[in-house]
Amino acid sequence: MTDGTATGSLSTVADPRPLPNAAARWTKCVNCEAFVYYKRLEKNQKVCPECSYHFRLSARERIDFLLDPNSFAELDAELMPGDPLGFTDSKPYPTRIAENRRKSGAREAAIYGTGTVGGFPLVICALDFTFLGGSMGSVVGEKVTRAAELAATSRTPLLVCSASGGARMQEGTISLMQMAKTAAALATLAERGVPYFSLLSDPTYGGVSASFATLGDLIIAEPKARIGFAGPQVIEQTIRQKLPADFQTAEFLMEKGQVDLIVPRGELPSMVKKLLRYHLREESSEESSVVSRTLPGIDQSSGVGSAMTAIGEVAPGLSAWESVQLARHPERPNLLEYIEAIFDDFTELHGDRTLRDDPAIVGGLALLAGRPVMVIGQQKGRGTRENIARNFGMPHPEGYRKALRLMQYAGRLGLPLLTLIDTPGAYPGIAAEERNQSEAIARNLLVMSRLPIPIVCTIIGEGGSGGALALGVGDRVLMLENAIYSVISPEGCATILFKDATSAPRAAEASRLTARELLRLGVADAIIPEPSGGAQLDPQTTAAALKAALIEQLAGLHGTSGPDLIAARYARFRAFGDFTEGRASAGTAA
Amino acid sequence: MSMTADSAIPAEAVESVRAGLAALDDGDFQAAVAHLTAAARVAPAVVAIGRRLGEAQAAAGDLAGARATLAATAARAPDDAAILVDLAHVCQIDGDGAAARAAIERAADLDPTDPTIRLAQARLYESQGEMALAARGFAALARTAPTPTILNDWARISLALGEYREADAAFRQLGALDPDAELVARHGRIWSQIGRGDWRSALEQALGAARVDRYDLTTALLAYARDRLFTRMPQPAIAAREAELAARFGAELREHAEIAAREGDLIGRMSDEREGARD
Repeated sequence: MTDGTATGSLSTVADPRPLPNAAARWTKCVNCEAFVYYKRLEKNQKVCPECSYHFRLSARERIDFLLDPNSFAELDAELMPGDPLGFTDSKPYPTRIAENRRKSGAREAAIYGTGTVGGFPLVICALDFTFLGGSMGSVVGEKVTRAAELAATSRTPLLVCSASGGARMQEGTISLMQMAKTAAALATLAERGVPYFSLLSDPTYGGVSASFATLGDLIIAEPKARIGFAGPQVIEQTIRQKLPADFQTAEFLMEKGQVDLIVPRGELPSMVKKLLRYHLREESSEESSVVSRTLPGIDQSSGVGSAMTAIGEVAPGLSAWESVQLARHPERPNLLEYIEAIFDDFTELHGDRTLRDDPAIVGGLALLAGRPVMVIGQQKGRGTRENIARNFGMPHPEGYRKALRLMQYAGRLGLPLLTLIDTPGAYPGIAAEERNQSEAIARNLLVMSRLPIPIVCTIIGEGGSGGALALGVGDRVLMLENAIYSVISPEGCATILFKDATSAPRAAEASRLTARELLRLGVADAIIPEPSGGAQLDPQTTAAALKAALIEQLAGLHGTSGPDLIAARYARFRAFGDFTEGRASAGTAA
Repeated sequence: MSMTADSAIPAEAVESVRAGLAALDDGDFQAAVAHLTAAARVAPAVVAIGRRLGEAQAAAGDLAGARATLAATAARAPDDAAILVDLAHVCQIDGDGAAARAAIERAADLDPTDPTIRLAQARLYESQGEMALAARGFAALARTAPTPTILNDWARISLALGEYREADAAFRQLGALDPDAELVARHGRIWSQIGRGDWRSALEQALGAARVDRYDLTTALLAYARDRLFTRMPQPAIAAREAELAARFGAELREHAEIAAREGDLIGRMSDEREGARD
């Protein structure tokens, strides 16, 4: 130091942390090769600020980044693996474990415990890829299992953060058995109605992806994370084909319907907090009282509340064909527009877990007057481009299977289900038939009839046949004033029965497809008034009326037990039919 | 002449320094810059304040500010290598490679025994495309302070330069040092031997690797070594196969580099303490 220059020790002013060494202060991004100052990288939760590359995290870092500060209480940290096979490759398994411990500073490839996110409690388990590739042996399997068991007994949501190459070869078949063990523990958790969120980070493969990682009620992935069962090289060698560049990335899986959400690391705490908030138990939440407060004077014993109109109150001014035109009006508000206007904090969930994410069906969690609900409906496009993308609101089987998954999830978690129906019908196409469109619709009817949760179905536009009914088995069925609901389109009916497509207006009238007629037939329970001339002329007013109606209906169903809901729903649909019973006259029987 | 803290930091700057350091630690870089700027105004000669201000500016992404602050601070403390290292990186990110090189070379001259400065220097050389200088730097570090990260860097650059003998040595050392790098080290040795045209060794090495891994890259390398040894491959086919193998091995090497990066913290702990003592 030159004379006259003050060095100045900052330690006397409580320097919280000495600077790391010269090389460690500047990290070179492995993706874009930019130098990033360590403080900047830390602040950015180890996401490169230049290219958004998500650096791999240790289990500790994952928990530090995700949970509220100082909220994590680790459990069973002392679990140690045995050596069930006496395994040696280039060195004995116990030696390999010891070396990994020394190198990584971790005791095993997973840690678990309890903590909070945004003040909401959860059980968390995080895998550590830096320890033997995050492989699942006895200890990882045991920790995931104990985490699930703790979540089940304490009825606390579970989050498992995966990063793993798969089952641990050094423990042989015992590691394979961890897959079954963890899956069984998660089955118990599901039976208890406790939510399980699975976070997939890069990489998640093999025995981990083929067990607990892909069994989440909700599956979240980090951007660009690689996720799959077999590695891409193995697949390439097997099928002798070049794989697409994005094969097995989170984005690829999202398109294929395998993950619900892709969430950048920096947004994970707020997303997890949001998800936990949806799953507040009703009895302990403020939301249920919010619903009550917003509904003064509602007669909760009646099926129909004051926001709706009974028979005779709807001005009978429009013909059936005019209603058809309004229900199909290109400016008529669509599902996402109603969701935006009616609900708070909507989180769209994606995919059927099997084939793809069908954009013709939109579903997700939301708050209605503060109360968590599941919302599902058909989405038409606004304009040609979006209409093509949304297939004009005509779902494929995978769309109905996405809806089914979300309905079952709501059923397990006790969340009311609201469906908003607007479809010309299920998509009639080769691929849809190949994937069994009929079964997809039928399965929804069957499952909806037995869901132990309040279900309110509203036809907001077109209620096209089985494709509409697949979301339409509810405790209450509402219709917007100019919505229609029919077994076939008027054009189809005219062609088949009247042998003349131009007779569609006559077919519309004959089909009794308007809200007014369906209210009279008992198919609809109530009509939600629209502004004169149709919802498209005043979407806000229509949305407000729909919102009030949904709140009223949920309030009416609130407090009814699951079995009572199922029994009433059964009775409701059991009653449909118009026939007479009489003894067959003599001689008519064969 | 070193001065004590109490005499070096005027009382009126202490609060600003304290607030600045706390903000820096909390990740509130703009607040840190504001507090430390106020402190530096009161105590412009205190090197540690200048350095922390430069750090806050770098963290906040204010490259011009960081560069000016660090250059001024380095001028006041011309024997402080750590400030020069930071200045070099800020200059490099700012696109001034010549200034970056001058700063890192001055830092290395000041403290030739600090491996972390050597490592930073070699990485900067690589970023500037000075691959031969970078390779020399990593090779020296591999002799004196080998870590998986350094060996990975040395091997990778040696491969890029076509220096297969050095790459083979780096991979051999990596395999011996890092228990988890056995496979990547074996693959690296196979690749280096292929590069040297030593097909028999490559084949033997690949057969050895098959004990650890029956799929993936091992099989591909094994098959390629076999084909080159026992068949006549046309040149276009050779080029295509080697490009594919190079891409796959490059990805494996990058993955190892990221996992092993934590090892870089280990080499530096001793010098962290030295730098901490300097503060």
